Amino acid sequence: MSQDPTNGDAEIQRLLDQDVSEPPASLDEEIRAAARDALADAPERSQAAARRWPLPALAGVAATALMAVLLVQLAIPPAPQIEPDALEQAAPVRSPAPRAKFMQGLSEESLRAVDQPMATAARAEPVPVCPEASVPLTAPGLLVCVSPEYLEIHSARSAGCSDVLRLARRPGEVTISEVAGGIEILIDGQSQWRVDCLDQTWRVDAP
Amino acid sequence: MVTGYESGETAAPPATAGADDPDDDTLMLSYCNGDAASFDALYQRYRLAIYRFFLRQLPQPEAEECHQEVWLKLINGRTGYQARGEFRAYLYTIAHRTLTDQHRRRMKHAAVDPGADVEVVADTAGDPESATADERAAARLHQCIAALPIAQREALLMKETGGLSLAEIAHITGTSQEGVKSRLRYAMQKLRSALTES
Repeated sequence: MSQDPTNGDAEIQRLLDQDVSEPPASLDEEIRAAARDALADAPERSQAAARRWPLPALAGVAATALMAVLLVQLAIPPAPQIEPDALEQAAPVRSPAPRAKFMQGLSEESLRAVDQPMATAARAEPVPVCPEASVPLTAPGLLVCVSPEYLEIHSARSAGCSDVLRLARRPGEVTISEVAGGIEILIDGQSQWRVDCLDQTWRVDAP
Repeated sequence: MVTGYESGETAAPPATAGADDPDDDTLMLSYCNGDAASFDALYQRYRLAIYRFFLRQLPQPEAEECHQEVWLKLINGRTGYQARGEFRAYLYTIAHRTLTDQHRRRMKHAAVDPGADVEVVADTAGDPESATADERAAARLHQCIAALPIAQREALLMKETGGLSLAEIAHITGTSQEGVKSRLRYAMQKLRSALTES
């Protein structure tokens, strides 16, 4: 077998050489004209592209800026999610107006306690709310609302005391501290009451 | 071996281009750089080869359409052309794909209309009364070529009208060189047989 199977067939080659078919002249001219037109169009296209350059450039800048903003947003950790009801409860506590009224009567420790969210309990159970004209102080299982004339003590647990304990108070700085079997309420550093909720009943001891 | 070209029109280029003539790549790059005359020179080199490549495989209107399509694709794709000394293979790759697309269109039409004639019959009969013996033999040869299976016919025409090497044909058609040789061998056997019978 030869390397090229078509080699050496002279008769077939001779007959193929006799082929005189060719494309119509009009077709030749169309193709040549298309080639010339393509060259003529090319400079126009590049000029048009040059005229349009500000548009893609601006689009590029805008896209870059947008990406930068999105990346910054992704890089900053999201704020902790707070339950809506907890927000409602916490809102009066964070309001500056009531705090200003009673600021003189409350210690710094108490104020920090005011700012601490009560969200943990709020998620599981309904949290009692202090009257608007009072400042809440939190203690384990209890909520103490401090107003100028009295203290209102709420059980923060649904299994606790259902009624509200109201104690008339004298003027002074109110603080609370946790003691065995409840909380101790002090005014100007002097112990006033020991309060606890036992078997759904308030127990108040005055020293 | 150069076949299928009229005298005066260089055929299996660039081998047949004159020693002083620029090669195909030079012409193509020159055209890409805005010289329309370079395209004319390239077109002159290959117009018959490409036209006859299609004419032996498709009815004349479709052959003309495909011929034009190949050149328009070359024109429109000129900016992506990379000069590697393979212009002829590049051009025939376009032709091969154009032909494949055309066969697909024909098959699709045949599927829609089962009565449609899918088989290609080249228009080479002429007038048998006045034709010379050579002309009749040539017509018979072209009929035989048209009757070949598509793959054999395409390989034969690439070889005979385009002067492509076995390696080029294999590359363009996506087959091995052995496969191309096999196709050419079967095609030539059928042509010889047909000519002997006539």
